[in-house]
Amino acid sequence: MNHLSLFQLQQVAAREATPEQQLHVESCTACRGRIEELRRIETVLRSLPAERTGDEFAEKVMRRLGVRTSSSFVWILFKNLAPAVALLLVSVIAVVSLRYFGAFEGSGLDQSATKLQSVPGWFAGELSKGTSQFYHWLETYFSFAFGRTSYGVTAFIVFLLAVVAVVDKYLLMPMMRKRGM
Amino acid sequence: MPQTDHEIIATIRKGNPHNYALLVHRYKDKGMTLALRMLRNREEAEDVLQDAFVRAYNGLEKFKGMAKFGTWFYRILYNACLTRLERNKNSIETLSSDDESDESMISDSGEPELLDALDKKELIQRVMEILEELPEMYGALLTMFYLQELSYEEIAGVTQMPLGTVKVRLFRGRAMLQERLTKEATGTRSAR
Repeated sequence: MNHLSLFQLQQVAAREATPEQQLHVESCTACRGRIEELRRIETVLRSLPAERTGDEFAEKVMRRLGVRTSSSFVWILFKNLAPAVALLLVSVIAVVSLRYFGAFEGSGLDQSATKLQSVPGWFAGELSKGTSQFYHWLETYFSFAFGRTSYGVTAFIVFLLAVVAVVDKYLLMPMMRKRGM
Repeated sequence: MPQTDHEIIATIRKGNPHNYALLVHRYKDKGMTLALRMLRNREEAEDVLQDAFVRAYNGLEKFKGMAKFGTWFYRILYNACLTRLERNKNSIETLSSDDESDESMISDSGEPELLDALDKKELIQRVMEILEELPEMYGALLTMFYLQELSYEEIAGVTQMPLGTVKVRLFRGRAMLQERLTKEATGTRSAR
């Protein structure tokens, strides 16, 4: 039998040989050598690396689609808190309505409702106290922003925006992307 | 977190379009390889690849999930590359439909083990260079078969070619590659 054609050699290399071809290969060193050569090329072809696209590629595609690669942190927070906020709103409306129609009168619940009403007052007081302390802290460490000059205020705002941008880009966005949000 | 392509697509359909970025990350490099082998110009390849991702996203509703997302996407990309080639008037090599039995164009001679003249690094480098020199069709088919690991049937689905034609063209692609390598190896050996 003559040497196998290149097509037949490829068939043997792909393990699709006929019994005749297989028999020939077993007795022919030259054909076996060429099959090894073919397999070597195939191994190289399988190991070739894929071409790399730039890191920005996916973002470019998403921009073209008008889709953010990740939801904003505020939106995710709002989305998760939405049911709680809705429940609170419904409860407040219910309590106000019941009080308005006098449903709590003489039941003792009225007293509880009055106590409940004092909660927002207490909360507002605490919030005000906290805000004052934070303001004082800012005044101590960022005194340049309180010099009543436009430069100071501008510098402070720029600094604040830079901090937010850095935190968003390097901390929040990668975190969201990692979680597939 | 969604893992498979189908899970990701399900989340996109449920209203999380940003998850599409996961699919883009998954297929961008292999897609780039295919586009580059066909178009041979990095900027054009990236442009066409972006178009293909946009088209795939817009057509996600039509994707029934019967095939793999990858196969479906490569079909969009392959067609986009063909359209771009036609627009550039660089039409890819056309082959007659009865080419299944034509083996004569490939030289059948050559000494075995000539490739031993090239070391592994040289071999990889040369294979990559030759793939860029091969007619676009062969480069694309070899990329789909070896890099994207598509089966003959899947390649036939992507390219809309008959199964026999895919096999023959893959055979030719490999044969051309081997012939060029062997020629070079002969040259290298005689020079040493």
